[in-house]
Amino acid sequence: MRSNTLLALLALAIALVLWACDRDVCSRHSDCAAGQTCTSAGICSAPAADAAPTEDASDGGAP
Amino acid sequence: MSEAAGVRRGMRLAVMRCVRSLAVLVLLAHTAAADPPPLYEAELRLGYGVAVDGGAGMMATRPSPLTIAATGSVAVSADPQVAAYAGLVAETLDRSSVGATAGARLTSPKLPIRLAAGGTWLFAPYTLWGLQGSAGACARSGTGLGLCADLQLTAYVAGTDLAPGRTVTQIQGVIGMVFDAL
Repeated sequence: MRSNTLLALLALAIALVLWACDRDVCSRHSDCAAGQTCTSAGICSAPAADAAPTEDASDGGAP
Repeated sequence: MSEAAGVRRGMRLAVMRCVRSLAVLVLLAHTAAADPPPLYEAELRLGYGVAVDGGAGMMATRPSPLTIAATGSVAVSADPQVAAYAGLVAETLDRSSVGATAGARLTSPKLPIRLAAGGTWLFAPYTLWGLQGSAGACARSGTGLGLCADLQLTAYVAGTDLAPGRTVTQIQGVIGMVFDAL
């Protein structure tokens, strides 16, 4: 009986924490979508290699 | 003459009753005493809970992956009851990764409580090294099967899956099905 109560409390605690979860924060690269990596700030972002063409494009647009 | 035979027959019956009673007592004593730990044990574990992300002075929680582990253990000491375990681990739901786990488990001979400490190593597709500890209880049937519930903490400290400057601690409720092999 006591172990059942403990199990119920544990399940309730986990449910409450899951409800309050912040799914936007990452710590593992596998937390992010495919093609993204987790930064030290805890944000999923595309790797630097993908950002390079944008810089090239802006340079190319300059007169 | 027939009276003596009757007495002899009565004594034989009494002895038989005594032997039977002793046999029942021995059987009961064996059942009532703390069962010796099984030499080999297999366990299937399902864990789910929260992952506490830390780093850059901020903490956040997110749902942990569903962790599936299949382990085997061998008793290394009867008093205290210590078993060494090892097995395979997989993470699923929002990712797919596989790894291995190993450690030692201490079981109380009088209470249905068990404590475990060890390490876990995820090796595909990324690597991740973690320290693991758990506390829980098991309800065992007489047929060598048992249902266990544990609270498990895993602190991942290194690996290519970990973002620089970040830490992850998983707090999971684990349901385990135990099979006594011997």
